[in-house]
Amino acid sequence: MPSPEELEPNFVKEQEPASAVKESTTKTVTEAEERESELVPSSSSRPKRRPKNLKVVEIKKPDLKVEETKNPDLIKDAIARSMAEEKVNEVIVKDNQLKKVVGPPLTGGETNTLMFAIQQCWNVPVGLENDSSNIITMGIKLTQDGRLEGEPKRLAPNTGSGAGILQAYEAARRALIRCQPYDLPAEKYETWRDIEIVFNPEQMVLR
Amino acid sequence: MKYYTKLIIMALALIIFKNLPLMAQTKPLRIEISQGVIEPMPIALSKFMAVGDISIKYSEQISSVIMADLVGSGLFREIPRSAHISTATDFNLPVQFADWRVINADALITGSVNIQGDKLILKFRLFDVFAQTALGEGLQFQANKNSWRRMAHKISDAVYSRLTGEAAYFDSRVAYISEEGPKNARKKKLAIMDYDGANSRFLTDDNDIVLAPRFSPNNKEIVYTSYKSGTPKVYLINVDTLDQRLLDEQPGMTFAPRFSPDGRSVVMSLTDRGNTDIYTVDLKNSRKTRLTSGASIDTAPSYSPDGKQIVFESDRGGRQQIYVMSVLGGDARRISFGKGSYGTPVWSPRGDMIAFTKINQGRFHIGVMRTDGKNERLLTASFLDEGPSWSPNGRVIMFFRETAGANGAPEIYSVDVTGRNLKRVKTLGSGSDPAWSGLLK
Repeated sequence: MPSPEELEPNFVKEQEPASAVKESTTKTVTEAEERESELVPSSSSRPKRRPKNLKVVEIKKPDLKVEETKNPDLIKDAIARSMAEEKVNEVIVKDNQLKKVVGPPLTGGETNTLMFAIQQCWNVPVGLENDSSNIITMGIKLTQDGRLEGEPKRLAPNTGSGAGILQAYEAARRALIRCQPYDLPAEKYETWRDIEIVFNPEQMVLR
Repeated sequence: MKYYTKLIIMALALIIFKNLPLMAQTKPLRIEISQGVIEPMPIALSKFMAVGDISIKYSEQISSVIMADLVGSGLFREIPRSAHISTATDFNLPVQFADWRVINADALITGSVNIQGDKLILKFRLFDVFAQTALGEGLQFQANKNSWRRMAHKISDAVYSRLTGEAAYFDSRVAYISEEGPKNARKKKLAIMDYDGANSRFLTDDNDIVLAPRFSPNNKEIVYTSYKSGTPKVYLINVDTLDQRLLDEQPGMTFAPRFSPDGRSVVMSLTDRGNTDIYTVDLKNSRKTRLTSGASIDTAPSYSPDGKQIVFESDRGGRQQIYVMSVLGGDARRISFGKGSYGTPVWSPRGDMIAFTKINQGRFHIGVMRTDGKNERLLTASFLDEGPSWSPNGRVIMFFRETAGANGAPEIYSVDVTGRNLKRVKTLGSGSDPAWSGLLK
C-alpha cells in the first residue's frame, strides 16, 4: 500500500467518537456514505417512491352481516332502524349484556394506521434484518378498548430453534404489548377483535 | 346421471356461496409488518446486590463494565439508575415489572456479588420486562476476584447472546502494535489488551520494529513480523510465557502471517529473489508449501473459517486486487472489481463476508463484501484507514486510522459491520494493526 505521504492529503475533520445511536432510524448511513454526500448533491428532484410498507394483506368488502346474539328482537330492531335510516354500509347492533358490535371491515386508512403504530413499536433485533427465515406470525385478541386480551400468541412458526427465531418472537411480542391500547374504530370491533400480524424483517435491509 | 351430478354440484356451489360471507367473517384481520425501527434496546441494570461490605466495590465495578459492554456495542441503551423506581433488595425476590415497564425498559438485568476469601461468586438474571418473564435460567460464575472484569464480560456476553440471538464478543482480547515517537523514528511494541482497552500490557520491548500480530485459534500464541534480524521475519510468541521462536530460518523476508483455523500451520508471504508469494508453514515440522507463483506480489492471506479457501491481495492484474484460491493453491479468482485498489482482505469468522481496505481517489476506506465480491459496502472514509480485524462473532471490525501531517499518529477504531457505532478504542500510546482474538475459554 502507498504510504500516507504519497497520497494527496484529503483530511476531513474527524467526527467525535460515536456511542449508541440515540434516535431510532430505519436507515443506516455509514461514514463512507456521509462523506460521499459531502461531495455530491444530497438530493434529486425525483419524487419519493410510494412506501412499500403500506401493504394491506386482506381487504374485505363491506357486508351487512349481523352478529348472532341471544336477543333476536334487538337484531330486528337494529335492522329496521338501519333500513329506515338508509345506512347501507353500516349496521350497529348493541346488546347491553353481550356488548357485541359488528360493522364493516377496516378501511385501508384505518389498517394503515394500525400497521404504522405497530411499526413504531417493533424494534427489529440486530441480525434479523433482511432474513426471511425469521418471519413470525403472531395472533392477538383485543378488548373493546383496544387492549390485549391475554398474551400475544405465536402462530407460526409455533416452534423453531433457528438462529434468531426466538429473538424474532420476543421482539414481536414486545412490540404488541408496548403498542397497546390500539386506536381502532369502536363500531368495527368485531373486525379487529382477532388480528394476525406477520412480522417480516426481510425488507429491513440496512441501506 | 349427468343431470343429477350437475344438480349436486349446483347445490354444493349454492351452499358454499351462501356461506361465503360467514366464512370470510370468521377469519381474523391479517396484516403484515415489514418495516420496523432500528434503535438501541433500552435496558436497565439494577444495582447488583453486594453480599458483605467488601463486595460493594466489586458490585459497582462489575455493573459498570457490563453496561459499558452492552451500550458500547451500539445495540443497547442504558436507562440510568437515577430513573429507576425500584431496587432489587433480594436477588431471589420477584421482580416488580410495573416499576421497570413504566420507565420503558425492555430488558432488566439483576445480580448479586459475593466475596468468599479470594473467590468472587457472581449471579445474574435477565428479564423481559414487557412479557414479565425471565429470559433463560440465569447464570452463576465463580472465579478469583482478580478476574472480576472477565466475569463481567461473560455476563455481558450472556445478555448480548440471549437478547440478539447472536454469538457475543466481549470476553476477548486484542493484540496490537503500540507506537510512540515521531513518524520517522517511531518505536513499536507488541501489546495485548482486553477488547475494550483494559488490561493493556506489552509483550515485546521497543528495540525492534514489529508488525501485524495475529492470534492462534486457541488465543495462546501470536504470530507477528519483526525486524529483529534486520529483515522482516515471522515470529511466534506465547502470550503467557513470552517465549518466542522464528518460524522460518531460511533466507528471505517473511511477513503477513496468519494461523490456519486448526492452528496447525501458518500462511504468510515470503519474498525470495524479489518475488513475493504465499506459503504455508507446518508448525510441527516447519515444512513449507508454496501456494502461489509468478512475478506478482501476492500477500495478506487469510483463511476461510472452514479452512478450505484463502483470500489474499495481488497485483497480478496490474493493480492491487482481492483474489480467492483453494487452500491447496492453484487458480485464483478475482473478487474485487470496484474503482481503486483493494488490500488486506480478512475472512469473517461467520464465513459470509470479507473485510478489506480500499484506496480510491486518495482516500482510504474499510469495507466489506460478500465472498463472491458482491454487495461491496464501504464503512469508513479517512486520510488513512487500514488493517481490518473481525470480532469473534463477525459483527464488529477493528482497524487503525492514521492522521495526516508530521505529527500524525495511528489510533485504533471499531465499527459495526453495518457502518454504525464508529468509535475509538483506547490503547497504550498510539495503536495500529489490531488483531482480535476469538472468545476466551
